[in-house]
Amino acid sequence: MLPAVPFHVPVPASEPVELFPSLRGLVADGERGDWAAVMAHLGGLPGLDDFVVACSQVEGRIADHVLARVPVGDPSWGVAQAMRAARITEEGWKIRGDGWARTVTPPQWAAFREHLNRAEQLLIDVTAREPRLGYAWLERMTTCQGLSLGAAEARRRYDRLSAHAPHTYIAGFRLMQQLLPKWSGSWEQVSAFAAELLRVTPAGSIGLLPVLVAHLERHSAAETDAEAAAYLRDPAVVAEIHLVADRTVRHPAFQPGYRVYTAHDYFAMLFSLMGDHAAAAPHFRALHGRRTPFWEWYFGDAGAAYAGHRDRALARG
Amino acid sequence: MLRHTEVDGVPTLLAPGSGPMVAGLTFRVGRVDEGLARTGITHLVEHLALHRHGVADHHNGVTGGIVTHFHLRGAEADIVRSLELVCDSLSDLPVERLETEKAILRAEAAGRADGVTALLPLWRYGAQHFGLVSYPEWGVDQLSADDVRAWAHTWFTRENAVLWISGDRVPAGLRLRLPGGGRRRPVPPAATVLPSTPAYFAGPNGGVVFDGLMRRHTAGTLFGGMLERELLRALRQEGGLSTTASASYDPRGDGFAVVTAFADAPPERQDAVLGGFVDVLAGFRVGRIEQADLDAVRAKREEALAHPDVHAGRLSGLATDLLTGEPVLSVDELHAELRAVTLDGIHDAALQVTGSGLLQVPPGHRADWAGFTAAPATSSETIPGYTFRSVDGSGAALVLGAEGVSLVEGERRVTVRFRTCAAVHAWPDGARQLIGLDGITVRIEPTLFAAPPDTAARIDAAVDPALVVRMPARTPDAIPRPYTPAQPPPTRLFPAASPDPNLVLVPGAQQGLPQPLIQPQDPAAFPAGRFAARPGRTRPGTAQLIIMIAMFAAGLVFLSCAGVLTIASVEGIEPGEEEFRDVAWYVIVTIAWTGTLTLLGWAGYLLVRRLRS
Repeated sequence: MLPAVPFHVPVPASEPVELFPSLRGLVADGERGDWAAVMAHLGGLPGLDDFVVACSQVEGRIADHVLARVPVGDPSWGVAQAMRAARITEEGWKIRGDGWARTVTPPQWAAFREHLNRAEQLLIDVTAREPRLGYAWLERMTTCQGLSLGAAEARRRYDRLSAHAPHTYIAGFRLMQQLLPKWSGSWEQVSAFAAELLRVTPAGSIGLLPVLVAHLERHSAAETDAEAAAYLRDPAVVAEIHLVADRTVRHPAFQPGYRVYTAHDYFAMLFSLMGDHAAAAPHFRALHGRRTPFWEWYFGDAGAAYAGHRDRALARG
Repeated sequence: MLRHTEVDGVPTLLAPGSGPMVAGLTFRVGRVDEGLARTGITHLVEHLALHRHGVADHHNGVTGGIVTHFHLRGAEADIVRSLELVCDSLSDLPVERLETEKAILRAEAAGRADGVTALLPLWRYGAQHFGLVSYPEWGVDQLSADDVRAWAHTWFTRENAVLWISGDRVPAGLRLRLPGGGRRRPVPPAATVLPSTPAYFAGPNGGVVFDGLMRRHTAGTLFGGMLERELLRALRQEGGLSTTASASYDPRGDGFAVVTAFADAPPERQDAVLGGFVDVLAGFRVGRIEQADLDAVRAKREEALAHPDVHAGRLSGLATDLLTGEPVLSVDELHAELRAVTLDGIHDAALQVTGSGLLQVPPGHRADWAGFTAAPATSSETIPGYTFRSVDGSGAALVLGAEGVSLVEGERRVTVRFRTCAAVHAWPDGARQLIGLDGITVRIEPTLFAAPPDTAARIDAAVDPALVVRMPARTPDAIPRPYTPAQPPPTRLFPAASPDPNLVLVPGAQQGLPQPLIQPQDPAAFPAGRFAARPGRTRPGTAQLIIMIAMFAAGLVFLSCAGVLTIASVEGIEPGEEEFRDVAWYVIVTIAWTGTLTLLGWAGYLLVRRLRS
């Protein structure tokens, strides 16, 4: 007799390229070094959020000389330079590692700073020439955080991005990260930014999702499990999470694009943590057994946690 | 419109103006000519020259960086009389007023707030020439009557002056009895201490300040206007980060001009103002310049040139041009130049200015991320000489050498060489502060280092006496005391992550000037006499001399013993005799030789040290 299938088969994370067939062509074009084809694909995307997801799938796969030879004045120069900067930033973070600052050695710090400075200087030129390029401003939000340039500067970069690409999910997400106490912000700043997003973001916009980051972070920052559970049972918190769901995933105008899995991940995770498995169920169903790497931010064994919560939700819902 | 003539050998510019007559006498002398130990001497002469007029609103003097102006306004007869009084005073200064005018200068200095751009020259040029405008008037206290007379006769001469008058003729009977025999003085060289640009340093709170250089060109005035416009747009209108922003273009007198810009920054938004400022500069650098902005700024400038009194209003600037040998442009020529400026011309100006830029960032900030190099706040080498550890055991060390002095702490050092010393502050308690021409400062506090008691005297003897500025006695609580062991070591002076450029230079944090490497502690926190000064390595004194001679003598005694024993041991061996003596014999010979080498070696070491000192 065959052994019983384990209750929770860990679910591996899926990259966007695995989730969206249309991205496979883009990645293939990038690997081939066909810059014109890459730009044609990127140019057809509806908004900055999709643009950034698509870029994240190719920026590590296009050879640097392909990006470097795009001439200044070419309409795609800014994107090419921003991709180079994104790659340099990524290399810098690999050197630094993702531990706490105190675990980073002085040579690691020096190399990290040197990489981020190089990326930032490329990006300064890009945003100087093309101030409307949201992708470059987003990368500058990343360098701003790594270089500890300050919260007001992060906000300025967010504002410059939002001037031409308002209600971008990923920009709100980055700024929310910057405002967290672990990045020398405060819960007051986090709450104020969440309230601002609730006030200014139109219903149906994916730009409201960063509000959920505030709750997830509050929950995971709690000292004890009991405290964490109590936070997510607070009626005001519950109401706010449902409000965000009503204005996003449950809203008829919601157009998440490449962020559809991210959106359902948020609610599947949050409702599960709240113990509201019935509410989590539709989101697990929408995920079709897939998940994004986002779960790894909050769970040690993300694949098993996902499977456990999913099975509980689907059993009840 | 503009006429050139001459009065008593003084070149004279005439231009029509409405309203009461305005006249001025401008000399090619200013703060850049003074030298750090004599800062304030031109200002003092200017005050003495105006004294005979009493205090009057319409007679005024301005001591600038490269020129000194005397402005006069009023009826023609009044102006003639006043100009003659100024000239007579410059020929024969009322030195009986010296102490009174010194007191007035001190009071003025105390009441004067430093401008936001005050620190840039010091970081760019050091403590000489164009850098001197950053420094207080340190020379005033000890200037003598002879000093000011000599200064007036060297610089305030008819050959080094230009007269300008708003009117169509020189007033009848005007005589300028200025000292003669001088010559037209060129502006000093503008040598920079910045190894590379663009550079940055951290200044006091208040805002972000920037300057950069370009070859003098009318495009610069328009670039300055556009820079101000863009800073206001990006930082005030768009970001709501600053409340004021400004930019200006000022000829330096040597064919170059300085474009200076400032944006204020409230404490909680300093990082964003810095970021926005960097982006505005980057926009100009990459050439994102709009024709509409250029046209708007040009229109404003042309409007100013259309003012009926423009000719008279330009006179003092033209006098400066004449004195510095730059072209004296008419209003029509200026119009033509303004009209000829293109976007390429603006971009060229922007490239020159941003490429040579110096950025002052708010405290605790950096600009390396934006491609600016940290301006040097320390020296590259330590002077060879004797090292004296700080008595608090912090690890800081003072080095006194034949060529200069250094302070060392860890990897950081500041050095002033005697031959490139700009000034020495000398306090009666023995403290000395040496400021190098590069602006680097070494403060020697006798209470902080176990240096020999004659240190101050040796420093005074090593530098040009004219560079020594005698400072008033300090109250006991103003004299620093070492850190007591109970206190944490002063690590905040040396942040590991970012070298703090605020470590150099002179006293006076309230003036926003950078601080010395070893900072005096708050003395109130430490009762006197709580610590025992640990003796450092000192210069050999008389006692050491005696020890040295004694060692030589003892060494010689040991040498002769060892020699006798060795010779005896060789000669004493006869064929067939016992070849090996007992062990004690060898021990004695070894001790004799070891003692000889030790004593002579030690004495030799002491001798070398003594000779080096």
